[in-house]
Formats: sequence, C-alpha cells, structure tokens
Amino acid sequence: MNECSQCKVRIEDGIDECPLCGLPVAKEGDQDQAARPNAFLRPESELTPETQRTVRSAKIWLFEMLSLIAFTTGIIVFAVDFAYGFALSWSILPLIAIGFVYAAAVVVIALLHRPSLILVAEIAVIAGFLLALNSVVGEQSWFLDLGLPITLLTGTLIGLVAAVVRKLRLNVIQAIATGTLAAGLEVVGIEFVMNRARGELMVSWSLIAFACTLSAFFLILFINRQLRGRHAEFRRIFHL
Amino acid sequence: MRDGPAADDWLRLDNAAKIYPATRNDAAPAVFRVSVTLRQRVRVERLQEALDAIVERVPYYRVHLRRGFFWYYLQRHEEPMRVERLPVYPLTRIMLHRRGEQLLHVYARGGMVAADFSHVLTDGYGAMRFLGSLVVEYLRRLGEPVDPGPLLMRPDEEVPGAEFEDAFQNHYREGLPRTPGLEPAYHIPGIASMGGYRTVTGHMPVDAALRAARHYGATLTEYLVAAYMHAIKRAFDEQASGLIGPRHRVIRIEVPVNMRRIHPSQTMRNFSLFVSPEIDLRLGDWPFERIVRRVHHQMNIELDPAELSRQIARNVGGERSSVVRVVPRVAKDLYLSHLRRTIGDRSYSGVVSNLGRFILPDDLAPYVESTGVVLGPNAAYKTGCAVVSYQNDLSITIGSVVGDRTVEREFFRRVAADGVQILISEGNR
Repeated sequence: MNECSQCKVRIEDGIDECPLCGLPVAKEGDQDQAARPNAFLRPESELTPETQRTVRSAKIWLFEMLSLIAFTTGIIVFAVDFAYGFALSWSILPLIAIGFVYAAAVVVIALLHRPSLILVAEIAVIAGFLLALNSVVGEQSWFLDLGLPITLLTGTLIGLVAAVVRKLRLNVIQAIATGTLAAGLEVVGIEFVMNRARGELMVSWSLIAFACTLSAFFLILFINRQLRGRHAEFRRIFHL
Repeated sequence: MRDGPAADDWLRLDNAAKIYPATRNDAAPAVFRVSVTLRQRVRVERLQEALDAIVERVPYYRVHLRRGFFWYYLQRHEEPMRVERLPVYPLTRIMLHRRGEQLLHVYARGGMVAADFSHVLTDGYGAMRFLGSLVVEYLRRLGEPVDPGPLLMRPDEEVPGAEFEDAFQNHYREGLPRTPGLEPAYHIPGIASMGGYRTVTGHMPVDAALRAARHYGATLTEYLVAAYMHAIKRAFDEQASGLIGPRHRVIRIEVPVNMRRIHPSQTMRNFSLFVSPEIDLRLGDWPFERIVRRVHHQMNIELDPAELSRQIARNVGGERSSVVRVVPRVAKDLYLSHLRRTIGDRSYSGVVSNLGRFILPDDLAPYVESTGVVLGPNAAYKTGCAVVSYQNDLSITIGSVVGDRTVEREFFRRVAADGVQILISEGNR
C-alpha cells in the first residue's frame, strides 16, 4: 500500500498521484517516481477500451476540425489572390504555410501514442516544407546545403532531449534546463552548417552563445534544487 | 388484489420530492448513488434475476415522472429494469423529464453493485433498504445461506401500504411559527463543471473515527460536519488572502436527518429534513475545537422534534395552501425554482449526508467488502460529502465540480491528524 507523506493517508494501489494534494505517491523502492502521462500520451495498449474509444473519437474530431479549417483558409486565400489578378501569385506562400501547419498537426494526431515516430514524421514534414519554399523562393538552391542539414540537426537534438527526459524521468524544470543546453548546441550546429556552405569549417560567435546556455543550464538546475523542497507549497499556492 | 395506493397506477410525489422536477436545470440533478462492494466478482445474470424479483416488491420505484396540470406525478409501469455496466463517471445523469426515463438504475462492475436513485423516488434510507434487499436476494440465488432479516425486503412478501405513504403529511401541524430566514452562505471558489464531477473516497475504521469524535465530546456526524466545515474554512482563508476576497462570511452546512428516527415510519419514499449548523467568520478565529463545540450544540438544538416540525409545517403548509393548489404547474415551477435558489442553494456552503450504518444483516459480513454513497453534483455548493458505514468500515465520499481540491484535502488531513488511518481512492474504484 502506498502512502502520501504530505497528507498522511494511505493511497489505494494503482493510483500514482495522491488524489488530495497531487504529489506523486511514494512507492516502496521508488522514491522519485515521475507523474504518469495522461491518456493521450500513454501507449494505446495501456488504455482501457472505454478510454481508447474516447481518445479515438477525440482524434477524429480534431482531424475533422483541422481539415475543415485548413481547407477553408486555403480556399479563401486562393480566392482572394485569384480575384485580384486571375492568377496564382503571392498566395502560393501562405498556401504552402497552411499545408505545412496542417501536415504537422495531422502527424501529431495520427501518431499520438508513438512519440518516436512523431519526431521522424515531423522532420520529414519540415524538410518537405523547406523544399517547397526553396522551389518558389530564391534563385539558387539552398535546401541541400542549409535547409536539410539544419532540419536534421534540429530533429536529432529534439530526439536526444526527449530521450534524456524520458530515460532520466526529468521533471519540467530539469527538462527546460536540458532543452536550453540543446538550444546552445543547435546554435553551434547552425553556424557550422552555414560556414560549411561557404567552404569554412570553423565556428566562432556560436561558442559564446553556447557558453551562455551552458551557464543558464547550471542556473536552472540550481533553481530546481532550491525549489524541490518547496514543491508542495507552490502547487498549493498556484492550485497546480 | 392490492388495496390502497398499491392498487393505483399512479402516485403523487411526496412533499420533499415536489421541488426536484420543478427545478429542472442541470445545476443540481438530485441524483445519488448507494453501492455495495462484494468480495467476489458479481455474476450479472444472477443479479439480473435478483433484480427482476425485487422490483416486484418495490412498485413505488417502477415509475416514470409525468406532468399533470397542477402537479407532477409518478406513472407506474411494468417495463423491465436492466443491470447495466457501471460507468467510469461517478453518477448517472437521470433525465427527469425524458419520457420513459427510469428513475432508478442498477449497475455492476467487478464486485460492486450500485443503484443510482433520483431523489424524486426516495432518500438514502429507501435506497439502502432497496440495495440491501437486492444484494441479499442475489446472494441467495447464488446458494449462499443468507437471510434478509426483519430490516430488508423479501421478493415474495406483500407490499405494505405504509411504504407508499408521504410521511410528511402524517406529521403536519398547522399554526407553527415560520422557520427563520438564512443569510447567504459562502461558496468555495471555482467555475463549476458538471461534466467534470469527480469524487474522492476515504475508507477508515469506524471505531477509530468514533474515538476521534468522542475526544472532542461530539457524535460522529457532528465531528465529520465540523471537519468538513473546517475544510471549507481553509478554502475561505486561501481565497481571502487573494486579490478578490469572498463575498459571504457564513459557512453553513446542510445536514440531512432521517426523520424515521424521530417519527417511526415504514415509508420507502422521501422522509428526511435537515439541520443547518453554521459558523460566522466575522466572529473571530475558529480553531477546530471551537467549530466542533458549535456544531455539537447547534445540532442538538435543531434536532429537537419541535424544531423539525416547523420545517414540515413550512413545506407541507405551502403544498396545502389553496392558492398554491389552484396555480398551474408551470407557475409553480417558476416559484419552486426561486425557492430552491434562495432557501437552498444560496443558503448553504455544502452538505454532509451521513446515512449511518448500511442496512445489511450482520451475517453478510463475510461477503461484503465495503459500502459507499455518492451525492449528486451541485453547481451552487460545488462540493458535497456523503458518509456510510458497514461493520467497521466507514466510507466518506467527497464529490466536487471544481478542479481545486482544498476541501477534500483539508478534510481528510484533519481526520488523519486525529489519529485515524485513512485509505484514499478515486472515482468508481
């Protein structure tokens, strides 16, 4: 039987958070258990049939709403452009942007229970978006030299952060610290890709940015350590 | 052939039930659940057989609500009642005005058998007696050597006419002074979401809770009312320290009283009134000990039969008034809705309903794990507390329609601080 150290009550088996104060319940041999993700983030196999049905119908509803909004917006943009000059001109850019937002959102809805696949699919969507942009903007091709490497770099870093957060069961503040560090690495990577496109292999200003994010990383970890003892108090004050 | 009310194919609503159909919004659906959790998984087909047998014994529950010109009434029917799978949501939504809507639903899941009642039919006593009889009949059909005893019903016995009666009418006395008006009470903050109704249940040993109550010189109900009041006061204190302070400074709790204990009656319909202990936060600090003392004395005064008969005089007197009787139902609905808002919703901060011991024979102890009761959501109070016990298990369920958990948290922490070991669960677990 689990017990909430804050409320001094025992908690029925199968409940991860104290229903009274919301703190993760201390289990035997598990002092720092992270909160359980909600139904939308858990693998589908872990859900009850009723929850599965609810999640499915919510996904269908979201998909229909997004499709309706994207289609309507696209038609309006196209109609305004066409009515002005009887040709497709400036609207190509907003249409590409609408298509990108729509595809990115649909990918998340479709693969909600498979976070690793979401990442791969989103990288593909972003790459497709940049490729489409490159085909209509700019006289020379920049997609292979800049667009694709930066997309892959970003995707890899996001994947790494997600894996670290999951593996080490980091809380929100620790996850923000990890994200900040990853942002520093991203800046270094971007400068490297840009310089490489110009035929150089050195990095300079991005190292200063990285040093700043490194300091921020340690500062956030320090704040997290200070706040840990006052966690319950904050939850109470802000009704979290 | 049955005589008296049992012979009619319709029933008048009892005095207490009259207000529920009139206030037909979803703000307080007047539904509640009683449940019994058995140690063994329920066999639904046997439970269905038991239900088919028991419903013949309770014709006053096989009714639909209908509209008359002057009053609502209950139309009897012979439609079968089905055992349904217990949903995840803590309570059924009974659509009082939908044609053919059953006012009683029976559910089962795992070891739990639950009955959701509309308050139009009965109060906690009637619900417990019905469910207890159903569970005994179910166990008998499984071949278990159990007996309903004198308190519960047998399917094959004649239905006493006294079970149909509106007991309020028998204890009405004219010419009693009016009940005093009540100042508006404090309501916990938050936007009520009726769809987000959630419950937290605490199970604890009855003897430990009684010890804690006696430590303060109070009965168990008084102690629990005081703990609940104390929890609402904590919510008040938190709100008072914010930018927008509370508007009202009286915490008043509605505590239903089973009138059968005062005026013995066999009725299986509503026969409950309520007392209203309160604290006025303008009168200084209210440590827990002071709240218990106040609740103890106030409840003792209000539980006086003469005091309670003033409530009967108000309610039945209103119903019997010639003017009220000739007014069409539509106009009565408007007036009763207004009454419910002013003397009900606005005047109370919450409700503590202690059903007492669940009506089950002691020899069922090896089969019964626990009992439970859940009150319906209420958009005005936003919180409610229901209590029931069986053997040495005391079950307290606090329901809420707001996200903030201050009331339940402070309530259970208060009881735990008095040395009572509590096991907390959520929803329909």
